[in-house]
Amino acid sequence: MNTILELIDSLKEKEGIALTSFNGYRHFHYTYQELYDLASRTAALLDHIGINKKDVVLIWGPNQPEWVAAFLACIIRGAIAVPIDVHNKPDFVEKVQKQTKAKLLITNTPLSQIKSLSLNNLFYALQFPPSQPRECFEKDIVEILYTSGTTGEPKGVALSHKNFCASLLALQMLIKPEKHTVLSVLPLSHIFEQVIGLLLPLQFGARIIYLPSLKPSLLLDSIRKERVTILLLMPRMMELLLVELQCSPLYSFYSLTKTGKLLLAPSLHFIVVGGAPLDNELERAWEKLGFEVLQGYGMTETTALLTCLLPEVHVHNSVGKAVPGVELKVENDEIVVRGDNVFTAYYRNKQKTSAAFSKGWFKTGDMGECDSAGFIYIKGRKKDMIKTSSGFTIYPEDIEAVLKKCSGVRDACVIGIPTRKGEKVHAVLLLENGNPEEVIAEANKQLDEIQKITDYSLWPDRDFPRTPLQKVKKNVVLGIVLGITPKRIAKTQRERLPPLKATIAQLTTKNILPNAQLRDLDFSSLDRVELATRLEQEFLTDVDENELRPETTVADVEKLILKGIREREVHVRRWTRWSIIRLIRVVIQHFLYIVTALLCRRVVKGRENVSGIRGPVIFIANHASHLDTPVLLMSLPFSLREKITPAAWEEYFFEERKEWYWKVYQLFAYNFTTIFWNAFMFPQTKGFRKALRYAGELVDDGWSILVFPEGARTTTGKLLPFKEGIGFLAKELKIPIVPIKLEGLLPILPRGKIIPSPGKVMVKIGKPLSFTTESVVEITKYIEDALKRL
Amino acid sequence: MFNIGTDIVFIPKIKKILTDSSFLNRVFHEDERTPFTAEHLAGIYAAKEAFFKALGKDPSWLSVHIKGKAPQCVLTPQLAQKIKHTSLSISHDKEYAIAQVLVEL
Repeated sequence: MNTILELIDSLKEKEGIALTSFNGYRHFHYTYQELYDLASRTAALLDHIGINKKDVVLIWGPNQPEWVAAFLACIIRGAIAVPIDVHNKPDFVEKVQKQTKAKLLITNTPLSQIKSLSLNNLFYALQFPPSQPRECFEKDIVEILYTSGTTGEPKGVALSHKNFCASLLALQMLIKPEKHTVLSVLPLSHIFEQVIGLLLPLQFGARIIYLPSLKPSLLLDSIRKERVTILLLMPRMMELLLVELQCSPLYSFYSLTKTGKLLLAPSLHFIVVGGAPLDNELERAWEKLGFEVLQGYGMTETTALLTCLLPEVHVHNSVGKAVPGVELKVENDEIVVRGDNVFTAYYRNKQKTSAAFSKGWFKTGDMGECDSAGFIYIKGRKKDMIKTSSGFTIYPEDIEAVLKKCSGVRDACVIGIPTRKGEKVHAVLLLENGNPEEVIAEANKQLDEIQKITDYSLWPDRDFPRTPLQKVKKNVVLGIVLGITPKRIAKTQRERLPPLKATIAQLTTKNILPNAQLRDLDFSSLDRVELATRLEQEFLTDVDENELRPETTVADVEKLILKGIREREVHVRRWTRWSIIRLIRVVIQHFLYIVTALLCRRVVKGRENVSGIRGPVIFIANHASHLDTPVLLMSLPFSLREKITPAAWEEYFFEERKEWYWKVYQLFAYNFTTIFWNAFMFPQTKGFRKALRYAGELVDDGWSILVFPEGARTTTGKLLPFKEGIGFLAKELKIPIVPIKLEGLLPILPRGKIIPSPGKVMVKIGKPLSFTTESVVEITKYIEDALKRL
Repeated sequence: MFNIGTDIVFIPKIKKILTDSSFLNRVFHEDERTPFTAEHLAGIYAAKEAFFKALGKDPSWLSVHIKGKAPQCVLTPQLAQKIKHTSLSISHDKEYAIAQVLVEL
């Protein structure tokens, strides 16, 4: 393979699903053929916009299928892609645009100064027939990647087809091509993800999964449910996942018997780690659980892998041997490399480019050694090296490793503070119930004379500033430390903050006591909204920000969250979808239909509108009586009718009622509707998002949903205004909406009446509606109008 | 009956949350995010907050859609039913954005 274009071309022959993305509610699948088609059409769109060969296109967004299509489209068009990490701020994007003279920005957060194309709505904009790929050569630049850089100004690394192909070729020799399912937490704007998390899996015909968040519990869940075989992580994520696993009471068992992987993630073949150095302890902890870890060492300039340590090979502290095609040697203690995967230049930076090469070898900036067997050991980054006043060179990584093992230390960062004679070894600590003086003393006991820490400071925030791949930004740390007097900072050492306090702590600098009101903590209304958002992410529960008022105390917030967690899935009954229940239901329903048919003489119009439907849809109807559901279901073809879950107003069944007969009725009604009508609970006042998540689960499983958007039965016959819940459902689930009008049911069994009286009923089934870029408010209005017009 | 609501926002605070997509999704509709600047978003946020203050209700951010150069509030049918007319004005000065909403019930 000489160019990536050949890989893209091969996609149309491959079978199976290429990408699966989860938007928090439901899953979207794209087959290889679909992906190829989408990429080609996006290329045609780019052509239409006026993007020519060698034009620069910026892609600034999170991992999602549209990102992949945009990236592949640039390659098809011969344009140069510049992926930018989501966490980079608008000013950075502007800087990049000025430097690269980019013609287009594909993103979800458009800037006014650059021509922007919506990433989220990309697939709705593809009205053009697929474009033919332009000819391309090995030497053509595929992309420019700005390195995140832990020090100094970011540099643009230009990578060509030759670089990518060399990297992929090497990987293909190391990893068996099987039908893999890959899950990655790394951003697509990073080379590691692009090569190992995108191009290699596509080459293998594997399935790639994209998740909307990095919450450890979501990750672990997905690994199980999707039967993931390869997991791509950076070391920091391994730490966080490990902490999550350690919360389980069975952790010690898993560790002692090496059954962790077997029981928690049986499908997993191995974990690929890269992006930052992997701590030995961390690796061992995972291996003790039974996981196999494949480590890689490389950088953007080398198109990912330089060396690789395979799981079977246990050579401690090493990053492995050079991968096929890479020549590696150590010169002046620095690792230098040569190979087809090494880049040729920094974009528009001749100076830095020539400084990076020496006689044709690329200087990695990493200090290390190579043993006789060819195993490489990394001692530290050249840039991070500290040159003390006595003329010795030490590696802060070694000192950090010692510090992190000391009790009471959550994390540590060692930097060199420049003095007139040399640099001082300065430790910046993140403590958890630790006494700094004791910690430094303990660490110094284990360090060599030359390594000893001379002074320290306590980091005032919850975490160090990090790059998108979670490496500590040491230059930023240095800058801040220089502005603070060493040893003690105004804040006393922070005790370990339980997650609630930690989340609140991100938004205030005041002392967080249980009876402190949010207004005492200087929370503005904006802060309260932000707090609600963060609490939701942290505790995976719906938080109504309107419960967070200025006078709400920290203790109140805690109660709120606990209540949310308890209520999280109280009213969900998955077993009503089991086949055996479905069988019973079909039988019972038909009896109920007979009763209904006796009461209502039905005329059904518009059945042809739903005859061609394959796959789940949302049915909506006006609501006048309890007989609405049976009448509606009876009027639909059997294939659709059997797989519908009506949404029932949760508050109707669970609102607190004093009268005993109401309580009995509620219990009866809840069981009746969930078992015999397969209804699911749809809250109207709060907890909306959890209902939406369950709706997504239903849709994934192929079930259609029936909703009465008015929320309640009308008493006058006039249509009540629609609640906006329906707009959200339509927008997030992205399935068609079929409006149905029911006329004549009001006199038969209106609200309040118990005995129905027979009558005539007209059921009008409308044409399915599909939405693309409309907003929630607009969608709700369209649906309401469509129903009125029937 | 006429009700008025107003709100002022410190723009640097919005700047910090610009890249938090969960916050953005919670408060802003997609096309309210164009142009993607802290000033613009601060103005929209202030407008929504002002709107709900005028109604005397708790904010339900996505029920209101602020549109247009001469900004207008587009409402969900539920809200639109209770409100005859809304009038909105947004202004910026250095680090602050302020919005005023007049609601006729």
